[in-house]
Amino acid sequence: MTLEASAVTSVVSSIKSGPGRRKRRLPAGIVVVLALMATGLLWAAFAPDGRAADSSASNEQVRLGRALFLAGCSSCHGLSAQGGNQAPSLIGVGGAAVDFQVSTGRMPLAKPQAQAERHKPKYTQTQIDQLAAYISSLAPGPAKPDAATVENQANIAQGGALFRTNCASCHQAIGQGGALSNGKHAPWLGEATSVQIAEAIRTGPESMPVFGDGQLNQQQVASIITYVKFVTNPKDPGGAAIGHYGPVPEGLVAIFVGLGGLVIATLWIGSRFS
Amino acid sequence: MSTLNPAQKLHRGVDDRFSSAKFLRKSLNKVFPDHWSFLLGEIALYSFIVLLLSGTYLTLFFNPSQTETIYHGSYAPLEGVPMSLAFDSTIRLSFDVRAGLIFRQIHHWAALLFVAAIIIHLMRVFFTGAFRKPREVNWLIGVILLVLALLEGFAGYSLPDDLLSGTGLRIMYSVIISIPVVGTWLGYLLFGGEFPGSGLIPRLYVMHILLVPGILLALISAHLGIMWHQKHTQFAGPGRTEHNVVGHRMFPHFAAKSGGFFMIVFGMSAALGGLAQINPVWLYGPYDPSQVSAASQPDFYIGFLDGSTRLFLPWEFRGAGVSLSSLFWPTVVMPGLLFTALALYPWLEQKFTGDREFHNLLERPRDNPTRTGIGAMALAFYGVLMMSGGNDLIATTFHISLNAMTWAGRFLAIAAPPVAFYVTRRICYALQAKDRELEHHGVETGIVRQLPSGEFVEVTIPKPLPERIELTPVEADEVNGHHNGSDHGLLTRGRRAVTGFFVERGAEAESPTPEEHAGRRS
Amino acid sequence: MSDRTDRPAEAPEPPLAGASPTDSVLGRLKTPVSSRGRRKTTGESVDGPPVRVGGVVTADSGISDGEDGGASDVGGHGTGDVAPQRAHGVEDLDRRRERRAEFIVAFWFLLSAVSTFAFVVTDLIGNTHKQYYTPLLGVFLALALGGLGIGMIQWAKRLMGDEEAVQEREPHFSPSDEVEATERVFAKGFATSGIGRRPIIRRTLLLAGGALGLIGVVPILNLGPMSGRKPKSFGETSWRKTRPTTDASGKTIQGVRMIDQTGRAIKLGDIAAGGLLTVFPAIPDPEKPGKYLEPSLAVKGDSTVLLIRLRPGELKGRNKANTYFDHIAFSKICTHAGCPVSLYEQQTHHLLCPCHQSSFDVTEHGRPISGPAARPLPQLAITVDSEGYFIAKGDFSQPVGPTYWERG
Repeated sequence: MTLEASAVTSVVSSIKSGPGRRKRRLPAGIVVVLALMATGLLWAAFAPDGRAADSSASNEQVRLGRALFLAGCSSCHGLSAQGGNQAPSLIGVGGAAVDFQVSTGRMPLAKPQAQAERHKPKYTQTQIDQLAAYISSLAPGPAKPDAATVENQANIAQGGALFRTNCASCHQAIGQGGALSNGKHAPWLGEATSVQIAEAIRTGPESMPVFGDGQLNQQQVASIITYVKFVTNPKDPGGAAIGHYGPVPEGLVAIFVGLGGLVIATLWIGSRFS
Repeated sequence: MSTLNPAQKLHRGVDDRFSSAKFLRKSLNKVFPDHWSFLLGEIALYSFIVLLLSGTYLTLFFNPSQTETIYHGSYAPLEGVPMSLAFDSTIRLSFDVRAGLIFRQIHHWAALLFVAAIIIHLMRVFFTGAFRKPREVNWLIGVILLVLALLEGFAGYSLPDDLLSGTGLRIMYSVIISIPVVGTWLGYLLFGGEFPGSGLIPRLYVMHILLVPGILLALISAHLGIMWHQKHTQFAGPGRTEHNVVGHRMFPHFAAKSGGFFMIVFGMSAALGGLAQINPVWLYGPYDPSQVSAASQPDFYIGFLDGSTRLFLPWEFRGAGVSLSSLFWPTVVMPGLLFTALALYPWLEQKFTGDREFHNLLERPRDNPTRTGIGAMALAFYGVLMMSGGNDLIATTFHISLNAMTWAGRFLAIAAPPVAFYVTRRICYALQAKDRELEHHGVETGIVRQLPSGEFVEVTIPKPLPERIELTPVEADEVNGHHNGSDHGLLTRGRRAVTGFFVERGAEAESPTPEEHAGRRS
Repeated sequence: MSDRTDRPAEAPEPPLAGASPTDSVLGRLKTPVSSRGRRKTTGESVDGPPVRVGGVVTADSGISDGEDGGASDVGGHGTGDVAPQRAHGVEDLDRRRERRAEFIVAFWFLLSAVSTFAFVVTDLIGNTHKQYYTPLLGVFLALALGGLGIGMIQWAKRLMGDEEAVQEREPHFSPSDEVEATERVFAKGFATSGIGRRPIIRRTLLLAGGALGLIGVVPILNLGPMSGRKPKSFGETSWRKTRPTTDASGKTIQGVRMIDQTGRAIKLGDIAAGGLLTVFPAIPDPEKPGKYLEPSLAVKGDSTVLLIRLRPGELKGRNKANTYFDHIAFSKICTHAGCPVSLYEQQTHHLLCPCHQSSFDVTEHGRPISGPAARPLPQLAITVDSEGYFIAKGDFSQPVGPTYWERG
């Protein structure tokens, strides 16, 4: 039981306790919140209906968020976010998950499908923060990471090694994404923001596994983000990237451009001049 | 003889020693038939020369060693990353050596062109019946060249020791150890121990730059020498017979065109090498057996094996203390059978048709619907396998379920070939019928005339002669009429029975009149 | 085939502009064809003379020595000796157009020369680290080579005329007396050597030749590090060291701990629910206390493990065997072709292999559920030691990786 609690705590603390400015400004408040969360987490896991400790977000934010939730999300996720046949419970998922899903336009979902696709977000960032505040008020979970912390102390080479072990198997070595089973797929990473990448790593949206602070620490996540930012938009010294997908588009170019061009040349050479 | 120009002096000097004048004159006067499709094999030949030239440059900088090192160089995202010297030198070759990246990319593009050109050249030879007697041995050499080209390409693809090619080598190792009885021994010996072993990259290197290119060079020389000696085939046409060659002389016309075409092939490789990035190994990273990238594919020419492996069902034989992997069938048995059938095709066709004549005139694909159908069948099978080799990319690009792609591939691999055979054969017959129609009725002019009797007829004009000559189907009657052996015995009768499979019986009735026939053959 | 005769062409008038009936192309073609039956030759006529179609036919075609295509090519191009009735390649008749063609060819050659120069300059003074470097080299090289090629072909097409030459084929086989003579030489040689009459020589020669072939086996066997001896540890992995060992500081270690790629040992609680980590066997570094050896590629090749933490309640009943607190460990090496199986879909608990798309169910002992893999992923029995670190209870219960013959 204690082990369970400490595991989850470390996930949360890693997000809240980056080397960002906020921590330095309000250390006492954060520490109190974290302590409260740590003790409350066990309850969160086993008592999904229970109200966890109050969050530091203002009640006003929570109230506005609840109104947005009831209007836009409750038809699937239930009136009190308890989940339904079509949608999972949102209790305890945390602000990071809300921010990731809504800011990438994956939620709200127009119709149920194998996997939510990235779209233009339907809510403004203010509204997303309000939704996140409401969901966080139900039960604590990983909070939205601070933009300033996610790119700190990054080491691009280390990020590359971590990326190849943990991420490339689904998202492809150049971050182009790839197929999963039954119509699901790992998305292209080029359009994800640094914060969204951090949120996805920490919360494990949909098929993606979760990477907590015990698996990848804050500095390692920052390194991965730096590498992703590099590799999805690299300088290509060798000319056109032809999709960064490797041998398949290369083969198509070789056959249709290379060989095709040469076959046209043979037609020209073989034709009579008139 | 007193005033000899320098060229004459040189020529006489050579002739004094080699008595080469007659040979030289014959060579300069040698006639090559002129058709664009005869240049497809040249693409393969010239890209091989491009490969030799660009590859030589790469050997000056590449270090084929699996010794581990830590990278410290100009490419920051790999700074401090452990890697093999092979990968390290590939990165340096790409970023720090002058013209290193362009020649690496030219080499890779030329390799893809080489195999693609061999395949399309093989298709030309197959569909026009150019492999028939007396050219069966050259066909066999060609098939061996294709297999060696695949081997050579795979070895080269594996040398940089990057994440993508390392994954390919891991699969290759698994394929080798799946071979019954000797598999584990073989894998152990080739790789110098259990995977990843210690000796593979240097061995692949020797194979890639010496052994296989040497054999390729020797066989290409034989391929060309035999072609030179037997003279090229040609399509039927006015003045073209089984006994002559109509075309351009070696010197100067053919030499100028071929030399120019070599430059164009090299130029195309250079354009691709400079403008289209290929195999950016620095983005893949060094090989590590615990890592993998999604969409790990081989180069396109190995794609059909990757596809067959993906489509194959999980059939594993276990019993009597041994196991036979499901990997063995699609990666060893299937290509083994396919390439054997391909290599023996000229003899198989001879066996079934009984046609053991010399052929210097080519057939158009429609002239031999069954052969064309068989070719289409093989291409359909190959195409489905190749497509399945990239089915994960198709799935993500077109938002199709990966599992649906796999099942579609399994279904199509079985269903597409017979359909392709049947449809192609029907198309060939329809084209033949159209040709006959054109010959008998001529070309419609669109002018309608009323006859004195009141009847309306459309005016037709006879087809222009050269086409009329070309369009006559090729000697179906002669092939069928050629049974001068014993009519007894099960084999003979069986062969006779399947002969109808190759030569449309109905075509005999429709065969051209002797006059038309003579017109084609003269 | 031997009964086939060559009929002359019906010689219909070809639709060639300006061809006079007497200079009919086919009429000319007929001559060598009909005069040289393919069975006629007995070895002396090996190469018929090329005949210029539409060109000025020389008498030489008739007086050739019968040995080669000797003297037929009287009057080459460029001497004005071009047939006026030629249908194609009329370029050379028109001085102005000929000049134009010369300019076109010269333009391509000039472009090639300039591009070659530009290529060399770019190569020498260009900055290899700039993005323009390789594309620019490619463009210049392509123009240098392609320009030369296009120029040569334009030259051939525009200025070398469009003669069509006809050459007779030699028969593909030798005359029967030649064949028989050669066979007699062979037979005589064999008779002289007496290989048929001296079985003892024949048999020992065969033996010696066969034995010599064995020498070829030696380098093949010597390829392996053990000179052909069977590998003993096939199927064993680095997780096998389960007997208690001590690390550099003398502390006892009960089993093989698990380290991630950064060398850190994994504790219970490190992995979040729904998460996973790629881990390697932790071999204590004999020189640095508390540190572990970096796993070599050989260790990674067969001992890479995925340590997965499922969500509570997802592992049920017998599937809980050899797991620890929702944590379960599988070999990362696919049982199909050895790729790292690492596409973990945490909602369905499926592991997918990116190479050939076999998928395995983590909650059912790694059972293969689709794709070409036939065997489950080998599971590694795990527990937690007294300090809270994950350890392997022993090696895998079955060999990892793809199936091989002796696996059974």
